[in-house]
This record gives sequence, structure tokens and C-alpha cells, in this order.
Amino acid sequence: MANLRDIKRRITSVKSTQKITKAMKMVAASKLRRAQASILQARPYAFHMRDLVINITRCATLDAHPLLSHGNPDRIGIIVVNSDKGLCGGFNATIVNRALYAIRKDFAGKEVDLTVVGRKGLDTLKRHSVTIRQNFTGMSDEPLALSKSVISDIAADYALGKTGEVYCVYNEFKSAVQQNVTVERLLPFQPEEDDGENVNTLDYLYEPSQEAIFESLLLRNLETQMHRILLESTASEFGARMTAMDAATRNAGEVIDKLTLQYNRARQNDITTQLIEVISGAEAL
Amino acid sequence: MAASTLSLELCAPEKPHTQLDVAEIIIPGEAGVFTVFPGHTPVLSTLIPGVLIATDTAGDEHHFAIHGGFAEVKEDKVIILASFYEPGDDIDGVRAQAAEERAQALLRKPPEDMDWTRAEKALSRAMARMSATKKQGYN
Repeated sequence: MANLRDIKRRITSVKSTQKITKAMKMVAASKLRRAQASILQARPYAFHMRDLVINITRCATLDAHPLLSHGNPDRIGIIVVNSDKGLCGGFNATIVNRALYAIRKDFAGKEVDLTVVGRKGLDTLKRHSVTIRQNFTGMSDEPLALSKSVISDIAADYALGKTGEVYCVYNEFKSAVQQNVTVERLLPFQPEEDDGENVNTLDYLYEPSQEAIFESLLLRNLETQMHRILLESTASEFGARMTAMDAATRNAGEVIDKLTLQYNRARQNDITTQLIEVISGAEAL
Repeated sequence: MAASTLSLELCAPEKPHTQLDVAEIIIPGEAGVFTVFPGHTPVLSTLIPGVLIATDTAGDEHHFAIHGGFAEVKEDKVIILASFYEPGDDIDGVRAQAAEERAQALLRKPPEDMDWTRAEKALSRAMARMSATKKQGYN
């Protein structure tokens, strides 16, 4: 039976851990609210822009813009988005596993240019003998600026024909308790399974000109999609952290209950022993 | 027979999405300001900073300051993908005025290392916001 003082000490320690996890849960919940609002605002813009780009590039010729040409099919770019901070359950692990699966199975035999956003996944990916071309940290401060710097090199590589496709692995935000690991193709712009549903594409009048529109729209679209992905991932991260911290708080409560029971038992045991000693001492007289 | 109303959707990356049913829209396109009625031919235009004026079916005008972006016009739908937009009613006129004066003063007395494009953009944005607050039209 553990010493009374030891149990007492453990109870205090678990209690302070519980305070921390509880506080982290509250912080994550309030940050989640903000992140959720911004992803919900960003989505319509990003989706409209994506649809528009799909529409106007479907009938465009390949040489209309460098971002429309097809590059080297044996080399692909992958962007892995995870978080800078830990303590968010399986958030980073699932992303890293999905990315590794993509590299080893989906794109087996191809060369991969890996770009990692977020510090946590970087450490794990480094251990898996994959080469990382670029990595970015400082996720939640300036998502718009970050998405621009993430995209600039990737778009340049694609425009030069170095890579044939660009994918992004990230957590899509469904709700506070649900995040979906998603592999999304950013380039080429056409969806992977073009079912030809809207084949009767509109013949737009371009103002000032098609080149000018492509010039400003295509890169802007990539940045917008990246921005959206970063916001999705941030919201998912807070959701995952909130759930993880909630579970941790509850678990700490269970541990405290168990330890308190043990402590009371040990205390009663002590009292009983002492009583027996006193009584047997009295009898001996 | 074309529909008699246009559905206008305004979106920007960090702004809530606005949806209005309107009869007429005046759009500040890069190649010139143009007006869209229902049944307009599909147009894809870049936007310059300016005021977008939407007249709803009741005849009320809604002014929005737009800071550049894209406009997609389909037969019964207009989607504005702005880099930033603000309803005229939400703009603080005093602050917009101050920003415009600041931008103009800067252009009159430029420092040596002035970023001209940035200064000009700042001025056109300030002017767009001003005219949106005053509900000025293009006439």
C-alpha cells in the first residue's frame, strides 16, 4: 500500500494537470469560434473562384498561360499542412500518415517535392527519410501572407514544367468534433474526374482581355485556395485540441477519483492499525 | 425569355458573403464602368477600385466600395470576387475623408522613395470609399 503522503502528492499533481488541460480546452474553444467564423467567410469566395477557374480553363488552350501547360508527369508536388503546436490528439499524426501513404502508395515511383506547413509534422516526416524541399511555420499569424509565400515557389515550379501535378494534404473542417483528412489536387486546375457535366461552358466576353484575366486570376486562385486550406486546417486544429483537452480533463477527473479512494483506504488502514496497537497495548497491561 | 431579376453575390476572402436580388448593377470594370441588366451576355472582367451600385427590385440603391477583384456575369447571376468590399452604410465617412486627404497630400508632395503604385492605389481606394458613403452615382 502506497504511502499516504505519496498519494496526496499525486492527487495534487493530477489536479494541477487537470487545471491546465481545462484552461487549454477553454482557450481552444474560444479560438475555434473565431477560426470557424473566418473559414465560413472564406469558403464562398474560394469556391466561386475555383468554379470560375475550372470553367474558363476547360476550353482554354494549353499555351494560354504557363499555369495551364502540362509539366513533367513523373514529378509531383505535395503540400502537407499541419499545426505548429501539439496537444491536439491525432491531428498531426493522421495528416503525416496520409501524406506518407500518398508518397509510398498513391504516387509510388514518382519523384515528390514535399512542402510542409507547420512545425509538428516536420519533425515526424524528417524521421521517415523523405526529403523536404521547403517548410513554413508561423501558421495562424498571417494566413494570407503565408499562403502567398507557400504558393509562389510551387506555382513557379509548375509553370516551368518541373512538376506535373500539385496536391495538398490537409484537415478539412467539418465540425468542432470532426475533421476530414483530405487530399486535394491544386494543379492542374481541371478536376480529376471531369464528368463533363457542364460541357456547355459559357463563352465569356473577357475584359480587358483573356490574357490579362488569366494573368491575374490563375495565381490569385491558387493563393485563395491555399488561404482557404490554411484556415480549414487552423479551425480543425482548434477543434481537435478542444476535443483532446476535453478528454484529458475527464480522464484526469477519473484518475483523481481513483486516487482519492486509494488515499481514503490507506488513511483508514492507518487508523485501524493504530487502534489495534493502542488496544493490544492496553490489554497487555 | 430572360429572368427579370439578377442574383448578385458579393464575396471577399475576409468578409461575410452577401446575396441580393437586384434589377440592375453598375460595375467598375477595368476597361470601363458597365451596367448589367438581366439577360446580359456572359462577361468576365477585372475590377478596379470603385463603387458598385446595385438597384434592387424595389428601386433602392445599394452602394458598395470595391477594392479590385473580378466580376463574373452570367445570364441571371453576377458573382463579384472582390479582394475587399464594404457596404457604403458601414463606412465611416470622416475616416474615409481623412484617408483620401492623406493620400492626396502624399501624391502632391511625394517623398523621394515613394511607392507610386501603392500611393495611387491607396488614393483610388479612398475615393471609392468616399463615393460609396456619399452614394454618388457615375453620372
